[in-house]
Amino acid sequence: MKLEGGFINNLSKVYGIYTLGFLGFVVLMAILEQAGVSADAIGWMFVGFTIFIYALIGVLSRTMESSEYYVAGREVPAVFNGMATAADWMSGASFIAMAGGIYLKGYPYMAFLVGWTGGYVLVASLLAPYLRKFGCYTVPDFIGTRYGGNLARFCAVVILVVASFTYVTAQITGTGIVASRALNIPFTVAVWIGLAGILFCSMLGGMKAVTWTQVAQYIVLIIAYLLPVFWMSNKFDYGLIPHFSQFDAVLRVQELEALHNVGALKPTPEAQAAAGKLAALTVGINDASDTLMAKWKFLTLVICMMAGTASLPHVLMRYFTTSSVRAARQSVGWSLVFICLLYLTAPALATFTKLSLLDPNLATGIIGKSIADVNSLEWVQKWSQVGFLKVFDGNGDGILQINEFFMKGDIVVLATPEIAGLPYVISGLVAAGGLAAAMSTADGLLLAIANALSHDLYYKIIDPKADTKTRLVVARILLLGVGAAGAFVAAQGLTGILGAVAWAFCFANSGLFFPLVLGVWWKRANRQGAVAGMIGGFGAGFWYLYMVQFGGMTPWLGLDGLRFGMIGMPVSLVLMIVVSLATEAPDEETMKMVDEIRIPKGKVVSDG
Amino acid sequence: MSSSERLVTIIGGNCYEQSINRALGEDQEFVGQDPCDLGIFSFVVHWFGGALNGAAGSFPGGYYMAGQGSQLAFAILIFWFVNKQNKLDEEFGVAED
Repeated sequence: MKLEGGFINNLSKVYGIYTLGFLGFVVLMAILEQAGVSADAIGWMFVGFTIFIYALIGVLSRTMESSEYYVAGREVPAVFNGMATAADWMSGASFIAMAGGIYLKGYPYMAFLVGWTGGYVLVASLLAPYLRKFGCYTVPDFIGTRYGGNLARFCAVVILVVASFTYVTAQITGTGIVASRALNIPFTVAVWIGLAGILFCSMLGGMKAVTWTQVAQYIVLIIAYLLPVFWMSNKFDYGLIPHFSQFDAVLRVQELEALHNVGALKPTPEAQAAAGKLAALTVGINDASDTLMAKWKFLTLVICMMAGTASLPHVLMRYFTTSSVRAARQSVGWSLVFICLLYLTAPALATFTKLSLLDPNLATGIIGKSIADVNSLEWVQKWSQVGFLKVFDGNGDGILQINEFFMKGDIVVLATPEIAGLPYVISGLVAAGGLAAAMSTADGLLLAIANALSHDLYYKIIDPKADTKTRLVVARILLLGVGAAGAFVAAQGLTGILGAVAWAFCFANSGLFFPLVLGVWWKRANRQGAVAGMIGGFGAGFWYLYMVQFGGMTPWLGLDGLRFGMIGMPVSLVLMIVVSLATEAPDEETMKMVDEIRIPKGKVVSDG
Repeated sequence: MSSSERLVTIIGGNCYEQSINRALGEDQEFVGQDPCDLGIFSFVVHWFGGALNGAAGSFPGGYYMAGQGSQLAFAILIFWFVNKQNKLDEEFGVAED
């Protein structure tokens, strides 16, 4: 059943019905919960129903046409493309880990919010419209055509694969965590179930399927993220809209932090040993330190996240699917609007959850209560069982102090409905939301990897005579293979989500940011310069990360593993400029092509 | 301005201007402006996060700017920029039909 023509012209109606249907499903689950249906069953239904819908969209969007498989036929309207990009963008890191990071580390982690939104300004002004005009299918396609030769293209493919693969294993991990909690199955099994759902969406219809699934996933994730926060703000009597009421809550949290000696009272070595990798709250929510190092760290994290946003192929690829240059530009704006709906809410979520736990005036508050009482709470037992939290009586007084409560940041989102005493249906909803976020990003990333390997490595470098059918079959086989590799690595449980994501950003910006930006804006940038910039920048960044993370080297200027782009990017920039100027200028044709890119009018410069 | 504050504003502004200077004629100055505004909300404002917290009475200004203010600024910035860029394209006859 083909969905074009009628489908594109009826998007608002189709997704409007979908949204109402989804809300109706949530209400149905609430009724079932009241009727006594078990939490496990509700969890299964949420996960099962949503994955089924995504897979259905995937099947309905199947295609054998290469422009549909790679760029969704270039017919996605700006607003819907914005929603799809927002879902693609907001991964397990944004949905699950970020609020937890802000909870445990406070103000410095809000640099992620600034960097991950500010990057879109760079995308809108420096890259998206021009790449769209260029008409390529993938980012290495642009690099390869702009700079010429297979080496440049190949370098871009390598950087893309390393950055995206790092990122995708973190997403498959996130999928596994959520699915294992919601379905009550072991993590290692959940990972493969999650992968199956992800592949169903992307294998049959490529970018076309992924786009329309991502719109559906956005609707689920945003409802799932907003609802608990609105509920908490009203339940605790702070106000109707959490985005405004959160500031009073912040002030109250700061009072409570002083009351409970946050920062002064650190875990005893014995307690920390028992807690392992879990952390106690030792940092205030709004400690904007005035030291130069703190400011520098904030600044550098913002820079790395911004430049990374503008270098990640799965993000840039999302603007190839719009219908025109103008639409590409607007789509970036819409992406940010939809992204901001979540990002503006994350600090509020962290704040209200902290309030729930710390405020002795609230029934949900646990700090200061007796340890026996705390241990009898269902959510404490449940999450302790799976190793996400630990209560440890460090000083033997039978009362829970702030330094005796250890948790994994992820529970700030996943366990918040239970912590705040909301009905279980909300937990099911949040699980569905987390799954939607992680799956949508995983889809985008896997597609970026498989498309680069099939289009750039296989078709453009290895076998330029391959016909469409072969190319698409190769693309699908690669998708399966890379997905399986990602799931395999994820099942090992090696990575924490936020850290791995920051690395992916820095891999991308070290290798690709300047070759992309200078490729569009500097005619004199030539192939040798680009290759030097990519190899040099990526290599320097990779070396620095290895030395700081595994080689025991002390970081330079406080630049830890999250910020290694600050080393990679300057190296890439300098090499590009020096080597380009030292070798011959690009030919007339290339220079004209660069001019063409900058002009919206006219046909695309290159098409597949 | 102290030298460290100046350094921060320069990073936000000129760095982008340098690389953009080789762009097509009429767009040059305009496109350079957008990253400059970006620089202010990304870097300058948060450099003073601590100061902002005490600025307007007890309102947590640093938290506000990182959690809301800058993000809203970016969204407005993109739409403003996109509109102006489209108008420029039309004015110079290079817009799409």
